[in-house]
Order: sequence, then structure tokens, then C-alpha cells
Amino acid sequence: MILFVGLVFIFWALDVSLSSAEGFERVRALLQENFLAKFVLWGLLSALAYHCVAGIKHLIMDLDIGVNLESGHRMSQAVVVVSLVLILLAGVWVW
Amino acid sequence: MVTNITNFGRSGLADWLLQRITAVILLAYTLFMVGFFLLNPGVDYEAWSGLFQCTLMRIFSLLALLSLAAHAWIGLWTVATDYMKPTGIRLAFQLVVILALFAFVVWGVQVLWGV
Repeated sequence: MILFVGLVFIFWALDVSLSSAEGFERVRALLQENFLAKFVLWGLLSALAYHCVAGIKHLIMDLDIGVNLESGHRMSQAVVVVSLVLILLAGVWVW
Repeated sequence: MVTNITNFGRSGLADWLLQRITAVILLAYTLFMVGFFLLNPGVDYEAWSGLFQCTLMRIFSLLALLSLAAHAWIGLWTVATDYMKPTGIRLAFQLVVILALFAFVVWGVQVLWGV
């Protein structure tokens, strides 16, 4: 739901940043100086990172890989670890 | 025979397959955009608007936009049918989701091709 609601911000930023040079500048400045904008962006990137990693795990399991208890458990742990790494990287990228 | 009228595709299997195809498309689009920003740290307006002028990017973006609408519809439909037992609440939620998705698609097309 975070991603779905977050879409509003993404579409707004895309719209404004493509509308004109001033619009681009407004979005760029917002993402560089405004704490709340950075936090929202970081939150969305984190939600997206986790969503993608968990989704990839789903696709892998659809190929009948890691569908028993042990490997399934390991894959889920890997998803959390990889997601955390990406979330930290996104944080570094945004800040 | 159980028929459902608020899902996206003709059948559960169609939704299942489309969910995965749109996921791969959206993953590719996400990786492309992250790659673009990493490779162009100081992206300026000319580069950014230039990217979206090129036809290939517009095709890819429209594909991603429509994939996003289908992916989100199927995904949130699944959530709704799993957790929202009262019919009224579930249908209201699905209506809001579908209207929002329609608005995003129109907005996206307008951004890509609007003057």
C-alpha cells in the first residue's frame, strides 16, 4: 500500500520535472534540500527494494526451487538481509 | 462454477501469469532507471527530457505504465479478496484502486506525450 500511495509522489515528480527547466529545478532542489522529501523518497525506494527482492524470491519458487521447509526458510532470511543492504544503500544514495 | 467479476484477467491462471510477466517488465524498468541515475549523477533538464523524447524510451515507459496498472490491480485485488470479507468494504476498496490506477495511466500518458 506504501508503494501504491507513493505512486502519487512519483507521478507528480515525473510530471513537474519533465514540464520545464524550472520544474526540473524545483524537483531537484526539493530532493536535495527538503528533509521530508528525502525521507519519502527513501521510504519508497526501501519499499520498492523489499518488494522486488521478495518478488524475485517468488519467481524463483515458481521454478520449484527452494520449496521445502529448510531452503524456503533460508531464502526468506536471504530476502530480509538483501533488502536491508539495499535499503541502507538507498539511504546513502538519498542522503 | 465460481465466477469472479472484479479480477483482471479471464481466469485465475491468466492473472497469475500476467502478474509475473508485468513483474519482470517492471523490474527491468526499475533497474534501467536506477542505472540511468547512477550513470548520470549530474543529470540536467536537457538529458532528462531528452531521455523521454526518444521513442524507444516512450515505448518502454508506456509498457511499464500499463504493466504497473495490471500488476497493481491483480496484486491489490488479491489482497482485497484475501482480507476484506465484508463485500461492501471490498468492492469500495477495489473501486478506489481501479479509479486511481485509471487516473495514473491517463496522467502517465499525458506526461509522456502531453505538450
